[in-house]
Amino acid sequence: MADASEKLYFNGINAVTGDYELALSAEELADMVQGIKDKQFLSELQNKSQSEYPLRPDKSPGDLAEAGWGIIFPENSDPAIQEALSELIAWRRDQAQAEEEEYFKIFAGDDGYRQGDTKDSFLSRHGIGPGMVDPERGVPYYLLLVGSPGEIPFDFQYQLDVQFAVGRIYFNTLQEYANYARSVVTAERDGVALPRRVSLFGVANEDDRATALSSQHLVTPLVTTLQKESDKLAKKGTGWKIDPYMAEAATKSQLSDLLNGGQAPALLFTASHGMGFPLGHIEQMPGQGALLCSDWPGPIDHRGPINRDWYFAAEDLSSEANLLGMIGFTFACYGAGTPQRDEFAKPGKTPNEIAPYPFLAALPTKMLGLSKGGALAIVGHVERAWGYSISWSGVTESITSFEVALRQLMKRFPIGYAIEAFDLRYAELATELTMLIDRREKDKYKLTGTWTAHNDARSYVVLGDPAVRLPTAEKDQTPADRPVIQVKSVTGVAPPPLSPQPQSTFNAEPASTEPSPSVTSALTPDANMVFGSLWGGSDTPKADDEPGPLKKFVERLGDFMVKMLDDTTTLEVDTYVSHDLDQVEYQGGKFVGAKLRVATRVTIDGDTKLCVPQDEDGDIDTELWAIHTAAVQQAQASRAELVKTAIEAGTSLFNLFKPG
Amino acid sequence: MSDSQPHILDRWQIVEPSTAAITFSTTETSPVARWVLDLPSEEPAALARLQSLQTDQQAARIALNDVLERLEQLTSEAAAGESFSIQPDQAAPEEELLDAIAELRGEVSFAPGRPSKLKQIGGEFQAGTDRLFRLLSHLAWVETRHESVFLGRTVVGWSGDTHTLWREDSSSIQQTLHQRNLKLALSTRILYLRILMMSTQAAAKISLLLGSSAGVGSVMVLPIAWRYVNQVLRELDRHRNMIN
Repeated sequence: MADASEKLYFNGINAVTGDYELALSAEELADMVQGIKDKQFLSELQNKSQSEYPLRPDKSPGDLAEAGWGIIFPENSDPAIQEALSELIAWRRDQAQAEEEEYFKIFAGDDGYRQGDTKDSFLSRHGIGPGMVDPERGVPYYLLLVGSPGEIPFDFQYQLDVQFAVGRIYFNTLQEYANYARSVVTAERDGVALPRRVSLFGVANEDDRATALSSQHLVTPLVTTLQKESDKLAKKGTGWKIDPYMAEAATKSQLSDLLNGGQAPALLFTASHGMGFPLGHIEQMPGQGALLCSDWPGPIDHRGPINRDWYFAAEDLSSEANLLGMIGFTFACYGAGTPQRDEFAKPGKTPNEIAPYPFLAALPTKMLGLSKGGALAIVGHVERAWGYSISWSGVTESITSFEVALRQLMKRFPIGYAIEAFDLRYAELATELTMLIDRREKDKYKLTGTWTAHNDARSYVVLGDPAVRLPTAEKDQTPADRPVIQVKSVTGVAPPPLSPQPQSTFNAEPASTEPSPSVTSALTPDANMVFGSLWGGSDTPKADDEPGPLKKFVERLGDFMVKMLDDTTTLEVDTYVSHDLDQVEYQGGKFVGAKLRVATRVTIDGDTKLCVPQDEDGDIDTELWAIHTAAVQQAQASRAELVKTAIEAGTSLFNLFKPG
Repeated sequence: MSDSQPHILDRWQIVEPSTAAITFSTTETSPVARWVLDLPSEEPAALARLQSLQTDQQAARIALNDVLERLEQLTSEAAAGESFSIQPDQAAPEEELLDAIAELRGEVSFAPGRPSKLKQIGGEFQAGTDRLFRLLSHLAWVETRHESVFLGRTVVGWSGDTHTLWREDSSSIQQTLHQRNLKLALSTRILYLRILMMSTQAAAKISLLLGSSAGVGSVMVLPIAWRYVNQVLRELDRHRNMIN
């Protein structure tokens, strides 16, 4: 293990600076670990670590009729989403209810996820306590969450996943929901028989310890393990083709060929850095978690922003691609999603916001929702991924969870069950961690290592239905090309991650902005007089009252937000210089009497125009350029935070008006 | 500034336009709110001043994040039968909140001629939110002066457009001073909006506190919540003064 003062590096590269997303010494990390609050949940995980079998032993996890299947919507979910998924829901109902009716469940409305629910509150509401899953008790083993992490938090998914097999989908359009449903049903119902082929994409960047570790001690041994597994399966007539793409072969164009070339493997495993962007950066939503390929020359040969040609993002995946039946596994920072707040804040400090709101990575989301045929599931990492857990506590290749998961997939086990090894590892490490914290462990190496590996194991999530399995050709079955799915057009946009939309909220006059008749009914006469007139002209608020200060305030906030959202389609950052600042005036949106030296215009679609400063010799004025670049980043971050806070304020205010 | 409002904005000399001048355009006629910070002459002292501002702001953010938890505590006490009585060790914001709630529910009888606290609270809310809108909807004109020397000026539109004017021969430390001042000023502006956001969430909680017994709507307790949140921040000011 490394020296305590030596920096630990994680699998994330900041796209703007080109630096590592996080580099900490073991000592610094240990300080963070000691701030862990959620000890109750840690000790609860001990139950999991003591049980090797997640499901009642007489039930087969490979059979939905025995394990059950359920789908969980947020309580206020748009019914149109459920409608768009109806094909998948009907298919799963048939499978899960083959023997017992209660083995299929839709958790929606009052039965759905309620804001603030924890695993415990959700399960206890449905009559379930901790421990082994018994689908007869009312909650099936396979659970599909439908909603953004803003609606159903990542923490809920992590916690539920310890006991159950959990996956999640969230799309921006109803069409993508319908596409995904059709892809899963087609893969399972229509006899899709993909060639048994697994591609392992092991990026290695020069002078980069993180990818050296993942390529040498994760992907390379995985190739060996899977080859052995394939040899065993070959004796039963179901051998696999193992395709490694290592180091210099793991380029962006190679990955593009694999995904866009029409011959995508059934199973894809990648290990690389994931791209990270500053809070509110225009590329954060579309680019966070994109896969940085071997094209990056590494941290020594290249300094500064990461070239767009070096990483594979959602926009590099063709909308015409067909990935039907594929299951993917990406080992990369933010590969599956990004929480709103940094999960590595120091004790006593408020965690920094790293994103305007929690979100799923765009690349796997696009892979699932493709219109010609989407992937069935992608396993990825939320937050930063830690190479530490590949080589931990003196064990060079501590990769059993990866090996087990991939072998189980090759044997056609459902993805949610296949990655149980990660949950068990998480539970085991949590038990160890609880013990270390309880006895106030002084060995910072040990504490750090345990916490790191614990966090790493926790943050693997399934995007997609946890009950899907690889539709590979069985023994004596001839592999076939992927069919192209046909889905009728579904119009409509799914609700945004932050709902309700402020614009519609404040346009919803007058009903939503009027207090209900009972608002002041029980107030004292004094209170009625003061707050009633604050609302409108009379003591008791009425719809046709002259607006009082409170009403004006609500109207102004609505106006402000509507205009703000309208005006944030471009960002303008200008840098001027002058010898005599006192003589400069600000008129018409510019400084008059000063020299405009650098200008940046960023449009909402990411198009950026720059006017670069040059010195007297025609060279770039690097000093001014650096100042300006910092100003652009600050402007983007500040605006993102302002918009986000305004939306949150508007949403909270809107909720005050909701009846009940 | 009203006594009920936090001092977080006092660090800058903020010159605001009149209420009537509110606009959303960014033309030359747009009103501006000037955020002027005059830093001490010694550079270490100037940096320390900025650091102190940043610490205050972090403390304010943390305090804001604690608001709902504090109200939760009150709710728990109420649920445990402790009702809304004022405890001897009650923190000042909670004490004032309970006081206001009691008046709202008609439980407190004030001596004749004593001004209604609710009226005062309503006035504070109006003044506070007026100020919030002026700060948000006007161009933020952030200036840094160091030993009365003008280091830099940045004009930020409320949609984020940023125009910065630098002295041609400014040193890197001077640039740092202005950049940090700018960042803090903009964060403070957002913090003010967060006070509103937290007040709305607090209002929902307070109306829950009242709901079963009084049927009071959340909107109408917004002024009380606004005052409570500001009082929580004012606590920081008091603590800071005690430390200093």
